Amino acid sequence: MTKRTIVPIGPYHALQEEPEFFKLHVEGETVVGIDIELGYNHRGIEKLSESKTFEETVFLVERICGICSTSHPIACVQAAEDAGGVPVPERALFIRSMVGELERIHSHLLWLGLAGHFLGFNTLWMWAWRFREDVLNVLELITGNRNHYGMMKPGGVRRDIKDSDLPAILDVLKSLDKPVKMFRDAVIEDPLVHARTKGVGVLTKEMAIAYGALGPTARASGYDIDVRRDHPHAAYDKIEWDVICTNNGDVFDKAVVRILEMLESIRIIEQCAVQLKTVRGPVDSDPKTIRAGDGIGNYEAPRGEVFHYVRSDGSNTPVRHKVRAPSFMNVPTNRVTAVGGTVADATIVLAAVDPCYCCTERMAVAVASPGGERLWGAQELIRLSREKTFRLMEESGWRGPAPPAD
Amino acid sequence: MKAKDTINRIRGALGDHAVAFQIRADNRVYVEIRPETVVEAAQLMFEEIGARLQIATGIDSGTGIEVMYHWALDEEDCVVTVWVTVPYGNLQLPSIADFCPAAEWIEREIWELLGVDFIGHPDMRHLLLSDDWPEGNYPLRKQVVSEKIPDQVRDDATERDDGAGHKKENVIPEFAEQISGISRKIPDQVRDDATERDDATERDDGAEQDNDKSEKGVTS
Repeated sequence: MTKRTIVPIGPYHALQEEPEFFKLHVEGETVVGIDIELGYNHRGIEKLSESKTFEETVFLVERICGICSTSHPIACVQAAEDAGGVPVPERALFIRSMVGELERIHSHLLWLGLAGHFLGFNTLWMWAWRFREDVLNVLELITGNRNHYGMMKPGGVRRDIKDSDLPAILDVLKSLDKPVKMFRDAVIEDPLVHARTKGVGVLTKEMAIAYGALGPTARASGYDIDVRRDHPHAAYDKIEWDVICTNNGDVFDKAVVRILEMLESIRIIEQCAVQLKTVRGPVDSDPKTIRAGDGIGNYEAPRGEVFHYVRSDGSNTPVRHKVRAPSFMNVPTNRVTAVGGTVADATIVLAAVDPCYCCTERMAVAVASPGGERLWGAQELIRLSREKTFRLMEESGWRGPAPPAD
Repeated sequence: MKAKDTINRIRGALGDHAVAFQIRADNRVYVEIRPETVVEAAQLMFEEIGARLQIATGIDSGTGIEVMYHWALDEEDCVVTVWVTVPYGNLQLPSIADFCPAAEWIEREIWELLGVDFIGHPDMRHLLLSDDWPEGNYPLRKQVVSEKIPDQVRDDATERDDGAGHKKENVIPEFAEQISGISRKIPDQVRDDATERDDATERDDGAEQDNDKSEKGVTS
């Protein structure tokens, strides 16, 4: 019988923006159990929010995550608007959708690049991040910032989009179409990506429903939910777009869902830009108070539904502000997806739900073997993952995706 | 209103269990129930109606803790909030995590932040707070002032270390040695006259150390 050992990944982990601790229970190469601990970076934002005014809470929740830095604000202002019955001008709704979709593109490109990096496809990584830069430039043009846009407020948005900026925005989006399709083909047609990701880390639809999985993690498993469509908000019910849904639930499908969503996002932004030319008027209803009541706001962040609940007693601060990020529901699904796979696959499986990424350097992997303990760094685990790819590459004779024809 | 049939179904199924049934907007329904019917209501929402548990919110209302289960009806564009209040005297609710894994983490969170005990939870331990967080200290309660929390934790931690050789559970012994070694070394490196002071502390007892401390206070 194989000895059972524990491979701890974390609390500081190269794949996550915030510290998180996965204890992999391993028998030989196979992961037989997983234990997840979090809270290493608990900042008490819900408590802090109770001491802020409704306008200040938006800036606070913007700083929950550097990648979803407009998803939390949109959900937060929608909760305040729901509680207070605040109207939002139509033009502001289109601007919200535009900023939200730009964020989705940059977030998915970020994920795609890192996923490529961990699999040993550095070409994919560099291309993805090169085009992400264009998206950030557009966000800077619209909001003044590459991140932490400060655009949302209860009752509307803080800045209008100038008509003179629209052509430049549309030019960049048009130029993105080709590279995103190149990524699509690189992932869908590449036999090595197939070998590394198909059938790996499968989340069944039943499990996705039981765990309340969200976003691309749920949609890749055939669980067809998207709050942009199901609970219409911003301008999503005023334009045409499709929810991307696949059925296999493996890492490959999660990647495909994200790539195809980028094409939908481009479609949404283009339609919003067209609408902005005709939908005129203010972008802010400038509410003075939020009346007493309960408010629920949700927004489909790149990782899934962000949920905010606000209770107001009629004063200028919330009595209670509940925040639920999509990773709170998605990360527990690792308990079913990582189990049964190998340690070499664990990296990409844990990364496939797109928990908040970051460049935090240190990851200690201690393999407790009878001969003593080894400490592995992040580089070591990524190396393990890449070696598997290169081994497959040699076996199949495939040399990776061709550079894009310009 | 698309969700009308479903809402009528919920109203019918809960029947007398519902203390209050409010339809505040087309897409916002609030149902207040009694604590003993939480499991029944959750089974109805999750297993029969197929609603998605978005999350549960715990609120300290001043007389007790309110727990709001937000159920999303994705096909009907509606959020049904099932809402229960437990008084301070009896902070207990039955867990719904055994048939609805989505509730597992949030029940742990509400327990540690607000102190509601979920009976029958499969794995009740700290989620966000550290494992040595002082018992009975629930930071999201209204009477807790944010600034005081760190002090309470620190006091508790020193007591444990000074006490009958209690070790912090989470620290691996080898690392604990390294960590304490580092913390012992830092003051020596920082102080210029380290050797002199070390002699003094070796030679003398606690009274001398007190002097030492007051000197430090002066120099810094």
